[in-house]
Amino acid sequence: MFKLVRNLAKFGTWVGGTLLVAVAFLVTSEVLLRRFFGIGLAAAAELSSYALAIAAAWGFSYAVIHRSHVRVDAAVRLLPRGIAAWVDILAMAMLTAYAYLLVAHGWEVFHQSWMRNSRAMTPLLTPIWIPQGAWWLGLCLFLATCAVTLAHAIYFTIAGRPREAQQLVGVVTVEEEAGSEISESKKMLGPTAR
Amino acid sequence: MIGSSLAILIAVLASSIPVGAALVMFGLLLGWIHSPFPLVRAIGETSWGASSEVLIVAVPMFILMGELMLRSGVASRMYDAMIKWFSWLPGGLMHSNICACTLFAATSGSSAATAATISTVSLPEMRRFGYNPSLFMGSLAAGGTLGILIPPSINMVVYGVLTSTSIPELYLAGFIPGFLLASLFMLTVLIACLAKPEWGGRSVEVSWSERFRALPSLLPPLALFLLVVGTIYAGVATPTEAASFGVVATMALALANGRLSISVLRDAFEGTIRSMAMILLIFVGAFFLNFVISTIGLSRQITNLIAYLQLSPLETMIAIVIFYLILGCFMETMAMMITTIPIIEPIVRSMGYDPVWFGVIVIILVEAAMITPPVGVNLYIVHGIRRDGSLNQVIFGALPFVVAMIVLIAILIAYPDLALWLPQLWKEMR
Repeated sequence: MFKLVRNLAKFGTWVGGTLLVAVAFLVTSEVLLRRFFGIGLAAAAELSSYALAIAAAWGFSYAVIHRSHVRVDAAVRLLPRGIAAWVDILAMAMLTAYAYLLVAHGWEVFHQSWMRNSRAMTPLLTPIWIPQGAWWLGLCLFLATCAVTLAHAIYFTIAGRPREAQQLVGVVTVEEEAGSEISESKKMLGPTAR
Repeated sequence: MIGSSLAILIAVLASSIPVGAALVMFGLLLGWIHSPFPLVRAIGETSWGASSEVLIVAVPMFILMGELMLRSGVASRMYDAMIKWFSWLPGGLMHSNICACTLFAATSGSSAATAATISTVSLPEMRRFGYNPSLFMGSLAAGGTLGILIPPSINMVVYGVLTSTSIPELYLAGFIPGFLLASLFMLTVLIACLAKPEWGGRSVEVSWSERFRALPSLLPPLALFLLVVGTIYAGVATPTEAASFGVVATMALALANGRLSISVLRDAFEGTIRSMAMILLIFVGAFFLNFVISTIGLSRQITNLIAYLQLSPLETMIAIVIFYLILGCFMETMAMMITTIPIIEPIVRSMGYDPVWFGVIVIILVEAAMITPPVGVNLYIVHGIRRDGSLNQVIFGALPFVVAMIVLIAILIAYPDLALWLPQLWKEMR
């Protein structure tokens, strides 16, 4: 289960990344067409806004796995490790609740558009349920990731394996955060980084 | 209502609940206490609205552009050229650091990316030429923050969306303060090195012909700058469209340098999605919270309270600056902006300040937050790249630059036109 969610989340980054690149090329070509051939498509802005919503929704779970959702941890750091472990779980539970609210009420949004067959008031007349459906599926993946992570963290904590729980729901210290930025820049700069 | 609400918000945030979730839970609680209607139903519509906001599209575009740019091999050549041009000043390479950051900032919308890139190429030189590590690393951490003041800027896009302020005007307003801040940073280095010449390190001998031969390395960043910022003012593109050009051009640049591969794309995608998901989740939460706050009339109460306090505009501004300087020590900067701006900006506007001008002030405060401990991401980036020595060295080295930022804020309060002149000029020309 955990593996499946992880792989889906990784897949989500490809969905999001590809959408963004596609939008970048689409927007660029639209501007070029408008500028040099006087052809105004006026579709790219609308499509890019859908891409944003979908890419974000599909990305939420990847950010859960990498513990990238920001937390204000200055106070929690002062707590003894045993209590802090449960605070971490509480934080994850709250994130799960948030994800649940998004899925439950996102469904209403999608469902209404579907029932009324609503269309965007744009030249494309996009049936709005299509992007909303893709967005909602991403939210579902977000909820699944949160729930699975939460369950594992509780299990590890009760089973006396705090380190593994920490790796799932613990606060990423700023040092760790900077570390990933650094290792990336090292990798990128390659031979010049002495 | 304000006091209890504020207390709850602080408690929720400090309990380390992820900021986006904290904002939503806080919103639900407020709605439950103060409204007869089930405001929770609005979550669906507000989240779809917030996450399909077309102006925000520029945010992931700039993040993706930065991720690709780091991998495209542009930075190291650029830094080399900067060394050749600026190392003769007292404080030598530290001026090159600041200038390289300034130029990189003009193509990058992110401060962390700027600091990481320039630090990686410059820290080895610190050892080679015997610089005082503290000041040298401070110049890198602080120089990196210029990434969001000099356009393009992710944070300005977010500010623009949160306050319905024109993003092109915000960009223009950032130019003069941005270069002024870079100059203040250089002045800081200059003063430090005139007072303590031993901090300055050994100088690098460079001939004029070498300097001119290094100039072509500056072309790719300048071209990118014209593409992602210039096109907006040439009337060719909106800020979102310009950001998309940036992605296409950086991909082309990486391809030309032979750095574009599946693994590079994968790393760039993962980095981008992680950052944008983090930002968007908070953004969605904040949208819902703002809906609740205005529905239950809390925003009006806040404005009334401020009016009741009868502070002068200047006193209010000083209070706001101090508030952000303190909050910035403890909170991640993007989360801090999205959480506070929707509440603070209307107050500032009601006092007669220009929202574009305030945008610049906020960005400088965010920059200060990036180099003040304990949560100052640029400090950790520079420290992490150096690997040895203590973090305190970076913290102390960055302090004089925080002072430079506060000086700049004071200058901008005294002479708001430094920020507002360019946007005004542009509006008149159109």
